[in-house]
Amino acid sequence: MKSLALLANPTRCARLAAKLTPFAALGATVTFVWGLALALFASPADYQQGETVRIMYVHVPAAWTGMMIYGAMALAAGISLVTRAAIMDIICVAAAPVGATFVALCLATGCLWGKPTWGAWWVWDARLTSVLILFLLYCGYMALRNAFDDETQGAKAGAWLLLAGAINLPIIKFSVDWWNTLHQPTSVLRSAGSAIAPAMLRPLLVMALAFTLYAAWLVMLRVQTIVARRRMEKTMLNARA
Amino acid sequence: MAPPRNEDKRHAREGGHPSHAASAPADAANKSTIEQMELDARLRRHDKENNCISLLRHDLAQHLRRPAEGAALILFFLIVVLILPFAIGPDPDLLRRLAPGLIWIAALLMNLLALDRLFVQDERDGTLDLLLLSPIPLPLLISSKLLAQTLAILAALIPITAIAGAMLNMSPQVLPILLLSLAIGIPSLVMLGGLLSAITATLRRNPALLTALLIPMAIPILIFAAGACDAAAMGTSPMPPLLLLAALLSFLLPTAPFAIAAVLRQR
Repeated sequence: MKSLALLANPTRCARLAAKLTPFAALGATVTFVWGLALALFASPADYQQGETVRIMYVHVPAAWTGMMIYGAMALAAGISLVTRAAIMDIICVAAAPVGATFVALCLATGCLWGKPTWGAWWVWDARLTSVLILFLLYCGYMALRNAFDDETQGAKAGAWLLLAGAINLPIIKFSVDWWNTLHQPTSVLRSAGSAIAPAMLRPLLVMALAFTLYAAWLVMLRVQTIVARRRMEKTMLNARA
Repeated sequence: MAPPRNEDKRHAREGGHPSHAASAPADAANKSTIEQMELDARLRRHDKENNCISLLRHDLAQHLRRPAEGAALILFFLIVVLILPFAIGPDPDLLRRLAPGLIWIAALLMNLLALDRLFVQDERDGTLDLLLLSPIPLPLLISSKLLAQTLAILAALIPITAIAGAMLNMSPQVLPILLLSLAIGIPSLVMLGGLLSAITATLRRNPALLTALLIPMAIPILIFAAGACDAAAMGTSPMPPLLLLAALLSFLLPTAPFAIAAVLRQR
């Protein structure tokens, strides 16, 4: 508990992030090379979709990572509202563009995959639409966070928005599920066992690990940058005063 | 500007100098002081049980006192409905199919424009600071404001929806379901909008940002309302989507006022 409380200090947290960053970078590089080798060469083509199935190894991990980052941001927002620790806000600010980029990557690869398999770049389907809404929530958070000049006020407003979005996210997901569906249902994590062939599941999971480590790497880098920038701004203000 | 005002608020809360509570321009401060005195006088006149009713009456009077704003909103709704046939063509069958959705979009936009009345105007003229200092529980004050806003919007919407429906050639069996979906959906929309406008209340006027934040969150309401109207048009039961709308409302009803109160207090 005590060591956790110590980490609430942004400078200490940035120092820890600086120590962990090389490991995340190394892990991401190794898993990317391994995962891409598996995905591009060592896994079979689909009997129906042919080679286009390989888009899945980027598409699905990007979607998982994008959702996971939003979940982590909402958790950090909840903690920041309770404890008022500045580091939680810094983590949210650092993670938002990373998460938005992963969701955008998921949407873009989804379009590329949809064209050959469904015959359309975009369809108004439940899964596509709810991911698009997730992307809009990320954009809304970043726009709101940028609109405040005062960091503490912006932190509180942003945290409340993230929490409201987190409550709304499952509602959006289920409401669009009842609305219109073309995207395939859950096939990896389900109670009846995975419906995906083991030869395709392994590269998928390795790529998911690679994406997660890559996201962690980027977020830790951004945390260091933001902490450094805020400290610099404070010193410049002090020097001027 | 923010730090000195917060300090004032703290002084006032400690009972130091209540007269310093609002550092807004003098006439705005005067206006809000008069409003507050009026509210206090009304509250004293009534028993404790009647407090809620007088609160609501006060908030409704705020809407009735500015009829021009309400008329402008109604006009806005009608104009949105009016331009749609120009944009998509006057084919009666097409309009009949699109009518419920078009009316819901017009209602959504009208609701967005009306959000200014909830907290932004109060924030600007300093009334909000007085409300925060009031002995009445803040969630109760907020619930009253939200209810007054909902009633005002619904009172305007229900008659003009009937007119707009007739203009768009909507089938008569859809109209009661559309009105019902508005009656259940608009309160949720007002509460969501209230939460987001409380979050953005301290910002300079930025309606685009509020729109960008609210519309994604309003999508479930729109989906269920459209589902109910579709079911009515097809002749199947509109109950499942309406019940989901009601479920959304019954989730927001006990949570939204407390969330808004927490946002306004943490400003």
